[in-house]
Amino acid sequence: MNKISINLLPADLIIHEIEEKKRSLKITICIAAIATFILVSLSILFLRFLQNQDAQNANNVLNSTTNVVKNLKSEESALAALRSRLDVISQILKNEPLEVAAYSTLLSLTSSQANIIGFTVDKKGKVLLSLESSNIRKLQQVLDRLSDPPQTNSRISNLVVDGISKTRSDVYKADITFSFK
Amino acid sequence: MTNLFATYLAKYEILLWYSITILSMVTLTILVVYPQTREYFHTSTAIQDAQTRNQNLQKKIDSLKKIDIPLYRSNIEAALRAVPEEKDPVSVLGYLQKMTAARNLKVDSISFPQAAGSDKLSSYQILVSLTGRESSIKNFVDDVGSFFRLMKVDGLEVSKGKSDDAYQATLRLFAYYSVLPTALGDIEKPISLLTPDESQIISKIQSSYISQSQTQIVRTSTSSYQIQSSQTVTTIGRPDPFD
Repeated sequence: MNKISINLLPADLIIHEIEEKKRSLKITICIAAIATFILVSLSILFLRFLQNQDAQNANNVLNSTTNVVKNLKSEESALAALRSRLDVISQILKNEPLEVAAYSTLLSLTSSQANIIGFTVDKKGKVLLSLESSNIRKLQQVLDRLSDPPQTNSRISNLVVDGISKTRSDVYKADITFSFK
Repeated sequence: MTNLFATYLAKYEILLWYSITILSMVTLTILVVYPQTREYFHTSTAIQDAQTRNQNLQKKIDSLKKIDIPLYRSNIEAALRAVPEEKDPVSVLGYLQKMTAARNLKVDSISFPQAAGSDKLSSYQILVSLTGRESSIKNFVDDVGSFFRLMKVDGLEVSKGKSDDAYQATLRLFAYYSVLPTALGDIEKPISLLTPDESQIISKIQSSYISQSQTQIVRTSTSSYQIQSSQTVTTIGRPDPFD
């Protein structure tokens, strides 16, 4: 059996009711939007308040740590002074003086075979060497040693014999030029 | 008039609500949400930065607390003996005289010409002319290289003298000096303690000073000096190296 619904209200009234509901819904949405925004804003402000406290704490800790470092100034000064001096010392010790190395090498290579009668070395490592020996073979041996890379640790290069002469007293003299590195 | 206003209000009520809502949202966004959100990120970065700086300072404190002040002061003294704060030609002259006397070398001249070193360090030049045995000259050159007062041989000329075993040598030395830093710089500047290599350099300088200061030139008669170490008498030298 079908139910019969009878609405005797005028159509205008129904339309008005529907519009009123729509209006109320729109106003509610607007109020909700404003309330939500206010809530979000308040939450952000509260978060910022908490964050500011964290920032304050972090700054306080940093300040106290900075003060501890300041109290250790004597230790830091000692370290800075020593490090500065060591930097200078390291730079000085960085390179072995070429002159000393060249002279030491020559003395070890010429010992008992020939006498060094003249030795000059410039900053670029160019060495002018004058040797003398009473025996030409010994002089030859020294020259062989000077031109033998394993014996000189490959530090002598461009070896040129400028001249070999014999003096009146039967002493052989050799003038040599080479590069030492 | 009131009726007219009521009529308009009724007509545009929803529009008014929309306007109020949008205006409120825009106002809140401009005045609160945007600036506070931006500040939130800025402050977060600042807090992280403060925490990082604090951690770095803590590391610095840990390192600084490991420093043994008396040991470091002793090391600084040794380093200052090796490279003093200012020119010390008088001291260097004394050292060179001691070294030449120890090696029985005759000093022909010692001069301090005005010349700058090839490197960027502060230094002054010393020209030393010597006469003596070849081995003594070699030993003297080695002595200069291992001396606690750091000097660098920058030029060397050796030639045979008039007599058989006499050689003449001219050494160009550079003695270094450097002022100590007057400011520590930024408090947050990280520090590093001495490396093993640096500690080794300091111990080498310390031991060099100790061994060389234990070796003293003692006048044994009017004509000679003896170099005495704490253990043995090593070499006979000259009373006056210029003689």
